[in-house]
Amino acid sequence: MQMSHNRSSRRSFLRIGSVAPWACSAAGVTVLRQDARLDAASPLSASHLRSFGSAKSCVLLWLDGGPSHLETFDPKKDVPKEVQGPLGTVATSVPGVHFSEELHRCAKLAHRMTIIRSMTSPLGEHGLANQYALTGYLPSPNLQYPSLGALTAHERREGWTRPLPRHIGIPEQRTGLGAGFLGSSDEPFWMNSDPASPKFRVRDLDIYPTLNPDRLQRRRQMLAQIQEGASEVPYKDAFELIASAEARHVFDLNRESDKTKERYGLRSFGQSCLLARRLVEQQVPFVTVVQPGWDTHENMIVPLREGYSGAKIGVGLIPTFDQAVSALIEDLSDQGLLDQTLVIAMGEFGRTPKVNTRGGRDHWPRVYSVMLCGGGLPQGIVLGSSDRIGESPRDNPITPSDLIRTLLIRLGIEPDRMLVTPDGRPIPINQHGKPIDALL
Amino acid sequence: MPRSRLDRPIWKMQLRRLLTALLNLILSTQIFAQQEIPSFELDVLPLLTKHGCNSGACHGAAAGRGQLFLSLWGSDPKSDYDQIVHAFQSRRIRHASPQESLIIAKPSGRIAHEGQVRFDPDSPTAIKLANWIKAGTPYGEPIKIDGFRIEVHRIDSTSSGIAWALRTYARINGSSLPIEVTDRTAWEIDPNGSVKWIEQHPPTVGLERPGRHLIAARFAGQVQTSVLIAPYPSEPHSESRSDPQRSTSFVDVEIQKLLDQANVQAATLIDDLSWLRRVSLDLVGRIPTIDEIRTFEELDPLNRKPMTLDRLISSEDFSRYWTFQLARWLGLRPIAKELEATKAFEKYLSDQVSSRRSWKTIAQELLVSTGDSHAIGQTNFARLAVDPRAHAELISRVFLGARMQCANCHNHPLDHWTQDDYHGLSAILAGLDRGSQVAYVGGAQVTNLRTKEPAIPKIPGGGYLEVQIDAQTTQRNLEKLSDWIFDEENPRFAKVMANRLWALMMGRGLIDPVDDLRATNPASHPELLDRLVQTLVESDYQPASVLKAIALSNAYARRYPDLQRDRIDASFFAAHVRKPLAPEVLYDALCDALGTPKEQRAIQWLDPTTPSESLDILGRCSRPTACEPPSNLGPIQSSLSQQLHWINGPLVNQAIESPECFLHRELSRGTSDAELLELGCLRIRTKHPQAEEIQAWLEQIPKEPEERRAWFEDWAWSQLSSGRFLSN
Repeated sequence: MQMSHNRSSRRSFLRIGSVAPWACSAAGVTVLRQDARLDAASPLSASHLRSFGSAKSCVLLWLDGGPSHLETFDPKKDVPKEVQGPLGTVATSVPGVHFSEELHRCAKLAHRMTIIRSMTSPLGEHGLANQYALTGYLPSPNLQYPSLGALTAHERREGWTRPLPRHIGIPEQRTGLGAGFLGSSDEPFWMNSDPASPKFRVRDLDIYPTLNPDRLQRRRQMLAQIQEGASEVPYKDAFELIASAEARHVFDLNRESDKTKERYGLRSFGQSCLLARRLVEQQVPFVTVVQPGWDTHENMIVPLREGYSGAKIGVGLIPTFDQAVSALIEDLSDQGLLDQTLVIAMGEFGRTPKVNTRGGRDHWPRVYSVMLCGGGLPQGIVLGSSDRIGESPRDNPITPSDLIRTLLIRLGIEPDRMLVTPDGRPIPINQHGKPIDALL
Repeated sequence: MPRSRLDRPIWKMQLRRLLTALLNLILSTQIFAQQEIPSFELDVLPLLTKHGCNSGACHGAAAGRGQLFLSLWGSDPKSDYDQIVHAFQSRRIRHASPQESLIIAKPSGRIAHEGQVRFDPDSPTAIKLANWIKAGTPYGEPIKIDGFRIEVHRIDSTSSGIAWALRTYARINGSSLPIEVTDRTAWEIDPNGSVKWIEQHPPTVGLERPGRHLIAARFAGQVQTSVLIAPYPSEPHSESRSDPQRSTSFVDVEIQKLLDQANVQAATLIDDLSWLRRVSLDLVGRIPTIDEIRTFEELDPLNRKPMTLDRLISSEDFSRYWTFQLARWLGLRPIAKELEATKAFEKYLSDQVSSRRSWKTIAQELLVSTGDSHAIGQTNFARLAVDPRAHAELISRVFLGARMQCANCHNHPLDHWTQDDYHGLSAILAGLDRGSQVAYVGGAQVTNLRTKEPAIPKIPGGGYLEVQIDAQTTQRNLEKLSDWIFDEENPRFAKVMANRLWALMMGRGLIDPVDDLRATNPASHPELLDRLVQTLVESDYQPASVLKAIALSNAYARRYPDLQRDRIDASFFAAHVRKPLAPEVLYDALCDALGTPKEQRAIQWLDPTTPSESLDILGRCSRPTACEPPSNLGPIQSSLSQQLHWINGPLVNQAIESPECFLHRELSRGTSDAELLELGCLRIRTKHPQAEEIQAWLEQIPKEPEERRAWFEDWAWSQLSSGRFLSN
């Protein structure tokens, strides 16, 4: 493991050196490509270079709707009840750090995590905020930026020869996670099926019920005969994926023991996390797992803890998350994969410091929390803090763009490299972010 | 815009050159020599631009670089002077020993410079800068430039190809004649490396590859472009250059001019049935029916094209399809979760297009309407934007075809838009309440990011307007904005619209990308664009007028490029750019081809968030932006999910297996194999299969009924998956 880190850093160093980002053009000639919108950003420092590419894969746990920071990683004690909310706190394995009591399994793993409690953004609308959180760019009505996952898929294109896609989404499409101007080949490949269902199947991977492999082969041949002017075999990737035994194997959760399945939790999010681990084992660079439902404006105790009204044992969002994420981290660690797998849990914003009159919390982007683990990140630290009632960052404000830049470096992607839009406009991978030194 | 001077006799050129040289000698002695002391704007600033110091990647970035903040390309000379002479405790200048001044020592490499060495310590640049410092860093007179232009002179072929000498001229401070400013000009050349510098003094470039190449010149805040054409080598075995079907349509005349200049042989024309398919998809968004094909084939070949166009243009399908296209152009999406508002907006657009109202009138109404958005559909255009800035960007994209968003943080690097323009436009739009009741209000402000003060309402590139203190002042300003956008003298909206219509038909704009009109992105065929604009204006902004002119041209009826052979730049329109079908159109085409109709056609779902799994998988554009079809994507370069869905999903398979599908109707009717193959080819690909094709297929068809059915289903799938079906 350590060896491979070193190798990767050296290679990364060479790549960066050869790019020479500040090489302006030859005297007297200014080349159009030097896009004037390029912002000032510092080249990677030595410590950033050591961190460069420490993560081979990334699992993004996307908590869609905006999870309450006060009910998860930044609970408040000794504050008025309308700030504290309905849940208590629990001490974690890091002295002095508390999580929400419903995260008691994660609390035992806090010494392996990095918690950022000072994320901040100006955007409080889901559609805009999730774009900012996932792309690191403030949304523009005129250009759709690529998400972190799409960027990873794009930058890991070379050398990927397996039939599996480089960017896989579980279970179903959510906005903001797409490839934007990078185009369809870097879009996440969505399962569009629930891994917790006994009928779980990757959508359209199985041969259509009335067809068979021979007929599919015949269709492929007939098409090849009539296809005019095609530069490559039509539908090559798709036909290869359909035929791949490896793909069938990796997507088949029945190859896991019942004990393992139960460890992750039998609900959709748990089984999705289990599938994510199987994909990471096959070196898939980026897996997004979506947990929807965090937009808890009313009577939030039901969706957050209970799951349904009157539940005796809580099966809500937080217990489901707690079980699945603690299992994922332990499992990755047991397999020796945690050091090279970056696990991120985040949503588009936090929730209002005061519980509203309907027993919920509304959108609150000014401060919120993010959980990071593995991939070579420092362990057992809490970065930044919110003020007494979780209303604003107290110190170390970190923007989504800063976070994306930091994660890119960990994933071995040069943040200042230029991408080109289909119409020829050069856009840097990350523009306004400042790398978070404490994580590099 | 100057092109090559090929067509001018040599002696005339030389005489002209001699005269210009003489004039220059006289004038420059007047203007340049009288000031032996260098001036900042005329001498120093152009050097900084020339050496890239104030480019966006260096000190011209919004955040500056290394504490030196220069305006982008010297757009703000006074601030730049201040930065160099006064800021940083005046340490950038050393009057005692000018050569040690930071502004010379760093770029000449005597002190480490992150931006590397820009010029030698004893170069003319360094000497000039030193003289300026010796003279006490005078600002000199502010200058005013007009008539800045490039002249391009072709020099006889050299062994390495053709060389071009570049010169620039401008009128300075109202001088009556242009003065040469070549040595103060900064050049930008094509980024793809096909234009190479042969010499710097005087500037001379060579073209490494045949084709159309763009160069841009900057001087004192002005930018101009010029196009260099290097002809393609003649192919030894190519057919004769004179096109037997040479047409007199103005479209073809203009296209041919550039083809001739570049020695490009255009692709041959498609047959009439292929034209019928192409034009049906482009004008009414659907493939021709069997009946339409048969009727077309019976018409007189000499006038069946115009007859077909008239029929299509007057059809209800035309209204439906252009309502869809207009909605896409505007970026229609659900308005603030108010179904009534969205419905009212959709109804407004559909009614206007159906009643063939002028698109200029539609656009004007979209810009200035107020009232109850649930009843007055056009008010919802303003509600597509979340705030004044987004509204300013929306208006600049839709009506001006400009990407003004760059000017939010800094003056537009490639165009003349300034931050004051951007925030001034936002300031006008801040006077709109975008709630359910769209209304003019006074007193609303946006901050100008440059001055950090409330922005003053301003027409982009024009004058400042009154401060919007109440609803009346806001209304007056919006009307002035509308007058400017729809100005008869400068019909920029007509230009945007004509260019978009061209792009929809031809797969690529004359100005490309279509929403990027700017000085440094000239049209490939400026005269053609002017003619299209004229056609549009004369027809009172009816899209049909331009569509018809294009559809009847030979340029529209060319084959696709042969990927193995044709490497001609697409901007010549020597071959037809392959356009993937929009997901909605593809969905409708699938139903039409197989005869499995749906209650509503997909193009009638103007709201792109109308739930449809298949349309989402096919890549429907449900984003809050107008989606342009990516121009050069083949039909096969779709995403993995799309490919899998096409192969294994229910969309195609269910339709093929449906009892309503023509295959099964014909099979149960006892249609022969050969008839069915012919029918299928016509229905799906609008094509008569060739006899040998039919023969080859007939040999494969199994006799056993179930096997035979399965074979035809597989055959239909392959037809539906072909490039001919999936693209246009």
